[in-house]
Amino acid sequence: MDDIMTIFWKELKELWHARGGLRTRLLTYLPLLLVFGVVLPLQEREAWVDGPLAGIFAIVLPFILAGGAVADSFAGERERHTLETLLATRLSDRDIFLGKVLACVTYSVALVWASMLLSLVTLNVAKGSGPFFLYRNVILLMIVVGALLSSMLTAAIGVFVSLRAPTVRAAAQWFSVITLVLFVGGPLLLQALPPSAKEALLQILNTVNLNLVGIVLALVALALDMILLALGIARFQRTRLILEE
Amino acid sequence: MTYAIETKEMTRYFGDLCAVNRVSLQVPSGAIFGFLGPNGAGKTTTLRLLLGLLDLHGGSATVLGYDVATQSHLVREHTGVLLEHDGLYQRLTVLDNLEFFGRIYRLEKKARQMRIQELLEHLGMWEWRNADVSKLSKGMKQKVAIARALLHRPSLIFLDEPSAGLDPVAAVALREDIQNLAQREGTTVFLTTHNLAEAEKICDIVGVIRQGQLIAVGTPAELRAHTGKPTVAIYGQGFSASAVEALRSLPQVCSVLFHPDHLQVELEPGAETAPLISLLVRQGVEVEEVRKGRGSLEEAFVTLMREEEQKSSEV
Repeated sequence: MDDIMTIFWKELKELWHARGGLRTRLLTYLPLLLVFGVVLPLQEREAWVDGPLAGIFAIVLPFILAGGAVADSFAGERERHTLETLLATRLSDRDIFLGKVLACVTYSVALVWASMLLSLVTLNVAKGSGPFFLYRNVILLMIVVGALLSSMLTAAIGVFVSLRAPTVRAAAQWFSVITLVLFVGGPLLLQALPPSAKEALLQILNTVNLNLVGIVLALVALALDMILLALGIARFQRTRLILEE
Repeated sequence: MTYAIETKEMTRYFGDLCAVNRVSLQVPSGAIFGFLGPNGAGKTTTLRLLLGLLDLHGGSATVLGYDVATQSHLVREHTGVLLEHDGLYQRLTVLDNLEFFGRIYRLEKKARQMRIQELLEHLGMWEWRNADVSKLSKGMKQKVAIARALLHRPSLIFLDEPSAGLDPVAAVALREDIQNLAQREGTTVFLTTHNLAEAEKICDIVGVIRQGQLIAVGTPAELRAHTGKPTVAIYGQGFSASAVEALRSLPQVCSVLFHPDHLQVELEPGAETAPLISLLVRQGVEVEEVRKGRGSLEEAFVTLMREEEQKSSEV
């Protein structure tokens, strides 16, 4: 675990320093925090804590926020010629891989949770008196568990892509394509369904327990995370990576 | 004698190409070993094999007593490296870089901080500890990379072309640093280079590799004696074509190179210089100065390469 934390420490340091000085870093994160932590909650008011919007954003945001960071994880090391030196240390392949994944997940989930927490503070400050605005249980679950699973998926996909890509740019492009397929492909597929199939699907959705659907989707996401991580660990082999340097 | 590195018929292929061909080598503990060879000779592949970063396709190798095929993690635990690229994280400071590698090697916080300070002070880099690595010159980065390689007091360090790309002053400074640190810490150094002057100055033993095959191993003096012939530089005036021809006709003279102010003469081993001078004086040359020299490692290296090339073409 110590070795995973060592990589984690280095990755977070690099992520923090990735965008130059403090001013640049603040300028990068501030608009995101303003949009999701201030502007949108003030527009939506109660709907922000009661409706599904915040939960949906919490699940989608990791893909938008952390794409660059995860694409950089291995492709960046390769591009900046630091990978071989890292592989020549005593660290095991698995610890290097997991340390990087953990850093990507933490970075992504921390940004989402910070935005969501800020939105709650914004709403309550704007409201002034009266009972506190709090997220509905199901929305809170989407923010806590959904964002975590989504961040894990982002990290798993990103790290896997980054392992195979020769450059950071290539990794980022591949990651964008996969994200597009995930988020645009689904709705497009639904659109393309024949009317009878759409109707049947709607009927199913009307009859099933939505909580159950949520649980099933979460389990599917978890399984996908595990499969991608296992594939990543299997692919992360020193002797193989050295030949790709 | 104990050996830090021992290989027996170590072999590695890349497709049909045999990058390292049955290399058998012994590097004594505490020595500075120079691994010489032209580009693409197999130096870096050998180093990667010794670190367990590539699989062996034949033969065996032990580093510090650990088998590179089955105990490569232990090899990496007890060795330090400076590979072709410095491997430093440009976005991090000098201290952060060393802190990271100190953590990797599980140095206690206090010991880690003291060791970092000790090495940076010794290398004259302490003042730069909080600077981003991206702000440092190439020579400074190499110094930080050397500090990183030595951080956990490894018994053996691998340096792959450490002075490549450095200006002559920085290269000399780095060479001295390597020598001093290796001596002070009793570390074995495995150095790959094609800078022969560097190898001659700091290496106790050198090995020459060509097309994946180890063609010579010995001290620089042994290599020079074996392949580099004695030379003499004769300075003066009035070097005529007939004088040079007369010199070339002597049996003890291997070759004569004519320079504007002197002649560079390569001799057979054990040849006397006096008959050459007498002959030149008789030919009307005004000899001003005679400098005797032994073949340099560079000359020995070139001779070895030519001999091997000749053998290959004969086959």
